[in-house]
Amino acid sequence: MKPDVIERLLLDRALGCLDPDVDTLLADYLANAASAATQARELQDVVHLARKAVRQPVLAIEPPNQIHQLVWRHRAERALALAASFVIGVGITALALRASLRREDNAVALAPSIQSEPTGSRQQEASVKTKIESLPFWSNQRLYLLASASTADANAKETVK
Amino acid sequence: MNFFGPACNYGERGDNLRQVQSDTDTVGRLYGQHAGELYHYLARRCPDAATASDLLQETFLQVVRQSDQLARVTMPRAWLFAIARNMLARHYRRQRDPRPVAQLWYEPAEEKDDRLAVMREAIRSLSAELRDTLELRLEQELSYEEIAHVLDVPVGTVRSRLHNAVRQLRDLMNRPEETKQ
Repeated sequence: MKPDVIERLLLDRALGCLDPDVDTLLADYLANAASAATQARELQDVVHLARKAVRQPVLAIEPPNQIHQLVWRHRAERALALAASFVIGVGITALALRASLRREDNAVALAPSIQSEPTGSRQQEASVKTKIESLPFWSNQRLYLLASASTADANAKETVK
Repeated sequence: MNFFGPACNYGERGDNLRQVQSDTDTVGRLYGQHAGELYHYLARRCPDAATASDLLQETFLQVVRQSDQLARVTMPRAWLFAIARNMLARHYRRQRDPRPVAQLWYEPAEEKDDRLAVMREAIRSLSAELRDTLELRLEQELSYEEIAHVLDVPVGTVRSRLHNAVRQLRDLMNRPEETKQ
C-alpha cells in the first residue's frame, strides 16, 4: 500500500472518522506492518492529547432555559413588525387619497374655464348648420342665417386675435 | 429526513396555535440537547460569560425565527453551530473587531500538565482555519459533513484541513525542546 494512502487512512482513524469496515482491514494490515503501526500510535497520541487540550473546561456555567422568553420576544417582534406595516400602509393610503382628491379638485376648478365655452359654441354652430341645411336654397331665412353666422364667425376670430 | 420527530410533521389543516406550541416544544428540545455545548463553543470565543450567554440567546432567537424551516433541517447540530458561528461573527463585526471567528480563543492561563501545555501552545499556533476545524471535530465531535455545513466548505476541504492540523501538531510536538517557544 502507498505510504500517503496509509497516512490518510491513519489520520482518519485517529480522528475517529474511518468507516468500520475499512478500520477492520487497516487493523489487519497494521498487525503485519510495524512502521505503519508505530505511525498509527503516534498519530493517535497526538489526537488524544489535542482532544484533551481542546476539551479543557472554560466556564462551568450552565445557561438557564430561556426558551419561553425567546418565543415571547419573537412574537413581540412579529407583532411590532405587523403594527409598523399597518401604520405605514395606512399612511401611504392616506397620502395617496389626499393626492387624488387634490387632483380632482383642481380638475373641477379648471373644467368650466377651459371646456364649457368651446362645447357651447360648437353646439350652437351645429344647430345653426342643421337649420341652414333644412331650409330651401334661395329662401330669405337661409340667407339671413348664413350672413349672421359668417358675422359671428368673424367676430369670434377677432376676439381670439 | 426529519430529525425532530412527530412534532414537526404538521398536517396541512393543523391549527396555528398547535403548530406554534409544537415549534416551541421542538426548539425547547433543541435547547435542552445542545445549549450546553453551544454555550461552551461560544464561551471559548467570548471575553466573558455574559457575552456568551447573550450570543446563545441570540442563536436560539434565530432558531425560533426560523422555526418554520425546522422540518427541513437534516443536520440539526451542524445547523445550530452554523447559526452560533454567524452570531459570533456578527457580534465581532458590530464591535468592529477585525479578527475572524476562529482566531478568538480564550482559555485559562494556568496549566499543570507540561505536554498538555505544549499541545495547547501548538494548537494556538495553528492557522485560524485549521484550529477552528480541529476544534469542531475534537471538542464538538461533529462529523466531516457537519463541519462542512458549519464552515460552508466542501467535505474534502474539511478532511484535508484536519489532516494538515494533525500533521502540524505532530511535527510541533516532536520538535526538540530548545526550539519550542
